Amino acid sequence: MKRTLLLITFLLLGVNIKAQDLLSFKVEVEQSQPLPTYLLALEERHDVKFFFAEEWLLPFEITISANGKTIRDALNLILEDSGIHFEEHFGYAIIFVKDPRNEERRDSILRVATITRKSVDQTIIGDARSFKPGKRVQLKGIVKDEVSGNPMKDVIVMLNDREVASTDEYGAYKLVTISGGYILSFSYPNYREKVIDLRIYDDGDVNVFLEETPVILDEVVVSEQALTNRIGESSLKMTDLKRSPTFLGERDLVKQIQLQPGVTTVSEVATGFNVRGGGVDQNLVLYDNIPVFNTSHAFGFFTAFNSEAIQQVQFYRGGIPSQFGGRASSVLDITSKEGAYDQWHGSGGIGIISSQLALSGPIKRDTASIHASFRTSYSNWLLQSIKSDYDLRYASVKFYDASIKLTQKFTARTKLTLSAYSSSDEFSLTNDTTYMPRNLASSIKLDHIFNEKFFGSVTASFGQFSYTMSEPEEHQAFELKYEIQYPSLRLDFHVEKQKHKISFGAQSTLYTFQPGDLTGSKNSSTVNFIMPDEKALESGLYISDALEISNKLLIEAGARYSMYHRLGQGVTYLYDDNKAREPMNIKDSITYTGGDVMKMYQGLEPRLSMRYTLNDNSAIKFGYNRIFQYLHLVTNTAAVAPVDIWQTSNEYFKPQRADQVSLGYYKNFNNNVYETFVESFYKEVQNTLDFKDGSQLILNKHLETALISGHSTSYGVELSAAKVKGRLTGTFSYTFSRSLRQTDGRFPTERINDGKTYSSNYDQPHVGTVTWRYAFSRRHFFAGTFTYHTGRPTSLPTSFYQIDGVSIPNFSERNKFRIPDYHRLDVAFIIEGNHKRKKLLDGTWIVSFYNVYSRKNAYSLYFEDNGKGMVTTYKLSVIGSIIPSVTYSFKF
Amino acid sequence: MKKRAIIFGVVIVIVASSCVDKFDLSGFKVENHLVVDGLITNDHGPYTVELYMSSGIGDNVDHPEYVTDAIVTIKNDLGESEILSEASDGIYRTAEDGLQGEIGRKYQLLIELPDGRSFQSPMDEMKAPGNIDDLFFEFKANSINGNDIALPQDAFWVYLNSSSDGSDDQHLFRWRWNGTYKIKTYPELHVVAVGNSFIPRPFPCSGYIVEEGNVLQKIRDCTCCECWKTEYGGSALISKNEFLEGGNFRRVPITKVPILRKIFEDGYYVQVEQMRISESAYNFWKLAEAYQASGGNIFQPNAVQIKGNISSTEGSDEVFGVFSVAGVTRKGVFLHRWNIPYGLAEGPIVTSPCYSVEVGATTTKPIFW
Repeated sequence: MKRTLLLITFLLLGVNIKAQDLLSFKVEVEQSQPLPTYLLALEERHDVKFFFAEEWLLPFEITISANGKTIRDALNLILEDSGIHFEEHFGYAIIFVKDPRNEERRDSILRVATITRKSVDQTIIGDARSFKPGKRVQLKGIVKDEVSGNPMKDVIVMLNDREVASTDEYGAYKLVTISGGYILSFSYPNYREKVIDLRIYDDGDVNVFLEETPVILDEVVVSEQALTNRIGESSLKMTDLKRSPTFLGERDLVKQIQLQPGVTTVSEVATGFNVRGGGVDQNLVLYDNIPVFNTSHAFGFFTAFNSEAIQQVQFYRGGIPSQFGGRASSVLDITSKEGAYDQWHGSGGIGIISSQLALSGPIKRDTASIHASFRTSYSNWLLQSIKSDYDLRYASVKFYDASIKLTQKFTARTKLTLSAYSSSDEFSLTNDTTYMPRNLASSIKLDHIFNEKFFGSVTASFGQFSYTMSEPEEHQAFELKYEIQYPSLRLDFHVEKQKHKISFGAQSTLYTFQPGDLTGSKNSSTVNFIMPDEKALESGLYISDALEISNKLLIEAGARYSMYHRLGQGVTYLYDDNKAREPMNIKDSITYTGGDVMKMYQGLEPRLSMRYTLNDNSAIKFGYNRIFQYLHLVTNTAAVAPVDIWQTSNEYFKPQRADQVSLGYYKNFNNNVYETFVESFYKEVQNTLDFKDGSQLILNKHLETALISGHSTSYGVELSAAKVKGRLTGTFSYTFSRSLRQTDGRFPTERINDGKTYSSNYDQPHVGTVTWRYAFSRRHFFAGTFTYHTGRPTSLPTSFYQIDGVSIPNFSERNKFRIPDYHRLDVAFIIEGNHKRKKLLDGTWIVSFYNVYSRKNAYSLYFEDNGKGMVTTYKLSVIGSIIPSVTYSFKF
Repeated sequence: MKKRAIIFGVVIVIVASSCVDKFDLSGFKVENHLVVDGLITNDHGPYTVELYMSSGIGDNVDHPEYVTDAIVTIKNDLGESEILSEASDGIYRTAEDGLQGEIGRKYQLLIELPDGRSFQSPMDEMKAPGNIDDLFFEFKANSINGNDIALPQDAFWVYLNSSSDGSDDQHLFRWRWNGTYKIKTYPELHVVAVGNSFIPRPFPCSGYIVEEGNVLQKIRDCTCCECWKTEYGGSALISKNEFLEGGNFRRVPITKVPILRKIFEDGYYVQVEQMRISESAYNFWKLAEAYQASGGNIFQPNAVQIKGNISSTEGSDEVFGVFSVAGVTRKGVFLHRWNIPYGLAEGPIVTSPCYSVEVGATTTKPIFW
């Protein structure tokens, strides 16, 4: 007691006198003895006093292995990770100080767990009698989903509330600690936290199953994710998606992406999204590693992905890792769900527009599983009830999407996965032209773990994107077909060695484009126009190393070497150099036969991502990437129409080259309840394509005469503040950014706006979003979203005249005007099923109100000649009123 | 928990609606500029050049503000020139026996405004117009949509085969068409109501008079029973490679003539003009056509900036329009009533003079009728 009092006194005084080194004596013991005994013996022989609480040091002993070491070194070794430190004072006193927080924390965790009725399991590893204080023990294990039996990735493993490890993609974790008592816990969003009162005295395994919770009031957030993610990276939580307002009852992944800072869209009726001033074609959307070209149903009203089939979504808008390539602006990496290995489950949903069903279960228990989902629309009445100037009485929208994933485990280390995804649409606005886009993405993937630090996979895939535009009208009936086929092969490997995590691989895709076959579909029509097929091979090799230089600094450096071959057969037209590139100025042509290389491009794409952790709750990140994009989406409409064309690079269309730097600062507050960040970026893209005035893009054999290349510059600052825990969660984000273009050719017709800089179609300087979710109870939520963005640029006619009876407008310079600003509020009430763990059906109702205050946001401005010489400008609003909807979904 | 439970009694009424509203652009400052619309061909003169100002949104394009008192000159590559006289406000004409267009000559338009600004067109060659080899039509049932997209109409589709004279490999044509039909009325059957009964009151131009006992008596030929009305195609129509077969254009769609009782009283005469135009004029019409094709498209193709071939001599003033130097050739085809594979129902009997039925209807019988 006396010693303890003294200790406190010294601490209060805070004196620290540097004296001769008392601890440089060498240890000399004949046999192991308890540490206190040894220290007291030292006091006898030397002029030194040790101050300590006996019970702290009693578990430790000094052994003969310490002989020859200085006392300082020996004590450091023995007490490592014990929480006990020692300090020298007054030249003769050694004071042992123990940080009491560890124990207190353990007690409080236990208390909290008890109060919140978390089940706390007790586990003892090793024999308590073999307890050796200070002994280092290894704990490892596998974390699996209780229902499906699938290994779970990114589960956070905590010892006494301190994050110490997370699971890899095989569900495995491993950690080393000092033997003793701990509270071990496993957490993952939307899963019931597993808490174990662990006494560990020897190396051992703790394997756990996590149970998905229907509702978690205080959702467990992947801890400090905002701090540990790469720059520009975000993980989308499927629960957020399931508890958000919907448009006509359809949960929408892409609309969720559009709420991310730096992401915009031109309208509801626009497929895809624009990332940091990039075009819609600059997003690499991967579904189980296969690129998907069309991400939407019905003009962009809905996403082409069924949220029930999705396991995980990663989104990169800056600092893009080297394993991804081929698109200049962003990567949306979607992983589909794997089937359950133990018993059958299902889920379904019934909405106004569509219904969906998903089934998951074992084909052979514990070794083979299947996950299948299907969604289909069933009604046109809603669309046909839309009142508009476009006569929609004959409009029709039909779509479906389906996915299936089959998994076979051969051994614990080898797994084969077959995945297929398909989506299909058929829609028409009037009773004439029907658009039928289709997607197919299928793959076969073999995963193998060579050892715990070396694993890899090989994937063969086949993708297809096509559309048919069909005109049924007698006499001019035609079908316009467009198709891209892209079989691909890729190898990916991952090696860990000390502080290095090295990924490397190779990838090759063979594209075959059918740029348009126009054929008469009835005897009476005589149209026939076939564009020749085009072939191209795109290949890449990549390597990257994530190196943890220190606790604070992580650098991931890598590179991708990409190659592109435009393959025959084909014709390259040569144009008169002294004249504008027009069909009439063709002077020669070169014909290539099958297998010839018509044009080759290659390039090195350096990638860099850095994270410097300032302290427990703040970090600075930096990213740089260069990416070559060899395919270009060719369009002359503001939003992407279903008849747009993907043009492969050739003699005239050089690959786009994007360079982006981004820098960000991240800070969490209030014990990670609030996450904030500011990220800035600057991006240059060379060889972007823009269309010439009045150019015809479909079925044009000389597209190089219709398009001109320029470059784009975008820059911006993204601010985000989020409250991620508690009854009320929400995010506020604001982005200021510009997206500018310059197209300055040699001839007047090859310049846009006389070669001056102009806004791109999606230059929307101010974008703000607010989302929130308030939990009335564990089952009742009120969620909402407010979005605002500057109206997109447009070109408007400013005056008119008639020449020879033909009305002609005089347009402003391209994109000189803007349509009115866009803003919209959506709210939803979500009622989830009761939380009994065992029940037949777990149902959820979502009542959603889209566009709550009925704003008529402009989709476009257009003008019409009334035939009597008067021209009037109109604003078309696609959604002109509040749209309520109700959806019921269930799980079993 | 119970007190917090929320019960939604929701009656879902779908009132989804898209809408179109007028959009007020009056806030944008619009500057009007000079517009030039002129043409010289190998036809016998006179040739006309119109000068007027462009109109702002909401203004009436049909009644623009004409530009008067300008000095408008057409000159050729031999140095010959003619100053056009102002026939009416803003409309300038060459003299009947003045400058004549000739194939192979080059022509240029020069304009000087009273305020001193001057404008010009390039010196363009008048090229041989080639031939319209064939102008033909096909009857197609339910093949066009009129005002109601749900009610397709039958129509004659008129096509053209054309060839150039092979003097160069550029195929720059513009086609324009007009259609003429006969209007037949019965002004002698005109009546007026008197009390409860109708009494004959034929128009004097019908050649009839009413005699005693309300008997009609013909005293001379009717001068207002038969009229002809000519309609002009309002579309920019230019040659495109997709119709090109071995240097000739085949099956170029020119127009679709709906099967309407009104225009098939007798027959419908379609005349097509093939104009061989210069590259600068072609580019103008190409953009005009692209603009027309994009009208009413929900995907809203972006704007096209249509620049003509007129420029300011100082190079600073903006000016619109085109001066076309064109070799021209024509061909016509009759769409007869008997080409319609069914009998047309007889229409209402119109008792007013034929020229009052349609604006621009004339009693002068066209030479081709």
